[in-house]
Amino acid sequence: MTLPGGRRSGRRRGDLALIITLLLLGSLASSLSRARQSQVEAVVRATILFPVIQLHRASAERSAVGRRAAALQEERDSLVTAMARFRAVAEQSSELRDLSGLADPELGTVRAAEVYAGRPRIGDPDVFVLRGTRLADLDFPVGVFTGRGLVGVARAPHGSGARGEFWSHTDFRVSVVTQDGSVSGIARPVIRDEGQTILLLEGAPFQGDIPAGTGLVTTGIAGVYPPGIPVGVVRELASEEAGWMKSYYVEPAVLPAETSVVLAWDRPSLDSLMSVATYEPPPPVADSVDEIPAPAAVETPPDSTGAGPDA
Amino acid sequence: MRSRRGWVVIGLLLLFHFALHPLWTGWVAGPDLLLGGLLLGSLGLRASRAAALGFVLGLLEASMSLGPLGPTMLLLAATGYAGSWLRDVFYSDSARFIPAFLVVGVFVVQILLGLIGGGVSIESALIYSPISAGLTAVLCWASEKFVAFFVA
Repeated sequence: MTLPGGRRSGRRRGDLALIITLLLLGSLASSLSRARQSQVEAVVRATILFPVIQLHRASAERSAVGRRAAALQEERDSLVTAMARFRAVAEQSSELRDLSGLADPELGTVRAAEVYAGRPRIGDPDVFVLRGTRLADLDFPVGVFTGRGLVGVARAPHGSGARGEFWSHTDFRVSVVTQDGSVSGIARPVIRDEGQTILLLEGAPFQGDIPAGTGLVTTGIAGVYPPGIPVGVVRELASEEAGWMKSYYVEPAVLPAETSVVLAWDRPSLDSLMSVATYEPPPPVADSVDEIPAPAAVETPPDSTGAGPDA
Repeated sequence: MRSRRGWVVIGLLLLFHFALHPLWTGWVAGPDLLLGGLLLGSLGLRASRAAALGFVLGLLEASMSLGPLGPTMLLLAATGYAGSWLRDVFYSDSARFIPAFLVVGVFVVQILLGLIGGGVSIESALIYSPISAGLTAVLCWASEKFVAFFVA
């Protein structure tokens, strides 16, 4: 019941135009792909919300500095132990590669980044953004991990950083193998009765058993995760499908809430991987003794008797 | 909430929300100062401007939470619009109007946000959201009293 009047109707037209504009903008934002939404959010976080995010970062650094020192010490000790254990194996592998003429494996590099997890309620606590240098030009998707184990996967650029999912995200899958290489399968997140998210190893062969406490590492198949990254430890048998396969509950190596600084894998290019993997067939095996080529003359250093190769 | 003091309170609530939110992220029922600020703001604005305020706050909140951009902006814009419209419908001089408006408004919007986020549990709907709405109203009242000391 409004009275007629030019000013009031002009105001109503302005209100209507504003509402329609907001609806259009909201619909446009809803129709954007997740990657584009992520870029819009990155711009807002880098501009209007930048002081707040810096404040959160400083506060988190301050509160976690003591805890992190102890965790770093523990992580360093475990890495020293692991290096000591695997150094001899690495040297042996290198010698074998030299002997067989194989090129050194391309392992890629890593880029350090800070993790910022999503908030519950509106956001998703199982997603994260990474803040670091030159993350946006990674070849997504790539694995994200710490010295303790696998954290998740970075899926797309987010401003100059990256956006990804923790292992606890429903879409997460990783190919794993036991540390002795005997059993492999696919690990995915599962929520247990207590509401806690852990991992479930699926596709393990029915005939074999994986004892509790067995470590699982990434296989590196498909090139998303580097091989050999710890994923978790087998806790107990979850289920068995008669004659087909078994599933196991797996205690994850890394808890998302405890991660602050991570490493994003900058995997080697496919071309370099292919060049390493190029297979050169050996010379054909002779069918008869006559076809065996004469051995090449071997140069031996002259000895004190002066006898040469012909001696 | 048309006074300068009212806008200082709203600014303070929004500042506290974005700056201090990580403190109560892990609580099962924390105060929702964003909704508190938006609903108080909608009492002092025309419906279209209240919607615009909600729209901008939705953009900030979605960016901060890594949530869905469009639905959050639209829902908070609708909240601002509805808050302003309901003020005209249920306007009252009673001192209890604003706290009751905040409690009911925060409760309803939290349920809607929960539905957008993937579902609302019974515990959340019957226990946590009402506690959160009550805490929000108490903190808004405390902020108003705090600002009253400094701003005439």
